[in-house]
Amino acid sequence: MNPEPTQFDDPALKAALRRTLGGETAPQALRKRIAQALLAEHATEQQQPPGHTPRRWRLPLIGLAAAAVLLLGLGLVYTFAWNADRSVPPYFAMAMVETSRRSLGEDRARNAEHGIADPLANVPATDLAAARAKLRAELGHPVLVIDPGDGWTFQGASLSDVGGTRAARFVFTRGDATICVYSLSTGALGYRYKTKDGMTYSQTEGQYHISGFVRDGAVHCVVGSSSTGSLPLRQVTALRNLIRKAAETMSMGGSFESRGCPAPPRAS
Amino acid sequence: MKIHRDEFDRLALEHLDMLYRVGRRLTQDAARAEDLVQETYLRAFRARDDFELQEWGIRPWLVRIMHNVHFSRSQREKRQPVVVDDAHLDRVAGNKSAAWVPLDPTSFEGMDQRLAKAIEELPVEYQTVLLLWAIEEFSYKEIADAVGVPIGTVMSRLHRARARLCEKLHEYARKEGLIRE
Repeated sequence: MNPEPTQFDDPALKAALRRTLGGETAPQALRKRIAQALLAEHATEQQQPPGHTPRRWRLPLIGLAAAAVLLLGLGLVYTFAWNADRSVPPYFAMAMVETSRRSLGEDRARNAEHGIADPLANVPATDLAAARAKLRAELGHPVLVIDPGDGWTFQGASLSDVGGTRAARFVFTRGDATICVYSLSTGALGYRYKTKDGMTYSQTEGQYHISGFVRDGAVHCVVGSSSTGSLPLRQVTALRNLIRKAAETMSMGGSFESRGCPAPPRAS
Repeated sequence: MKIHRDEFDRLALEHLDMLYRVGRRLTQDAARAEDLVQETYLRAFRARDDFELQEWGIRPWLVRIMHNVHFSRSQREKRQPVVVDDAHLDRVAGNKSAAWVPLDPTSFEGMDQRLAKAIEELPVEYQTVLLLWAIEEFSYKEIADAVGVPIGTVMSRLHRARARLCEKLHEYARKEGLIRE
């Protein structure tokens, strides 16, 4: 321990300072006010219940509780933000809509009328599993599609172009509703658009509902529309979730082809 | 050593005058000094469980609380617009005449008034150290503990405060013919 330095002394200065400032005393009113304030503090303390936590312990506890709530809040925000459906870039959405539009019955009929080759004819429409295997081999990335059941009829599959990117396209119809299921490389979203496995999308572009997800470097989207509004976004998203679930089952050792396929909910 | 609540009150209230003087130096205003003293007592009372009666007693601990309260308030006030009263504006406008203290050449009263004025012109940190050293008889260690600075800083502040006072008073004494050069 260091000894305290020698105290500097200047009796004359001290005496002058004492004469000048030493006479200042606290006013009586202040003395009274402080005595009353301290009495009030005593009274407040005595009113507190016996099990009352001392003040010095309470503050850190409040701090810890606040920190815990903050962390929980941040976790929830992060979880919700991560799980919430995003939107794909507009150019990508429009490209899928345009490709889907060409799949609609009217367009197909018009094509036939004008002798234009049916774009769905390039992959056999009779066997969904065979079409999926063929397109997967062509594209070199997973092609995820299932038979939606519930009255949907498989119309055919094709190797299509979505905004300049080759994509697997499967078309199903039910009454006036049509759905196209796409699988294409995430590169189609553009280099600025960061993707990660598990990301999901949901949005509506005009009459078309789009719902998709990213898995194994590919984006898988369901694009649906109906002329009478019988196919809401909710059903399109339900179908996307079925495909997603089937892909997860497959990755855990199940067979994509053999899995049962529950029907998506119908519009009320 | 922990002390009983009543003993704490007694010990703390013994130093009311000392705290008031320090408060006056820190705030430069009687009303604000009173508020500061009251706030210091309430804080000390609430934190008394943390107080340990050490060899130098309760005084540096109280001054330290006052110091902290004052500087927290100052920081807060710096971030807020300040209301300036007319009296203050008058003082600022007539600064030169207000600074001049009439002298009574027959006594040293004039010198003491001049000393009070010179002290007021020192930075608040110097005033506090000077007051604690000269009037309250704090040791360097106590002052260092009270104002939260190293002992070396206390010594240099004391040295500079004294030098500035000498300079100001020397000039005054020469002007008044109290000393010859």
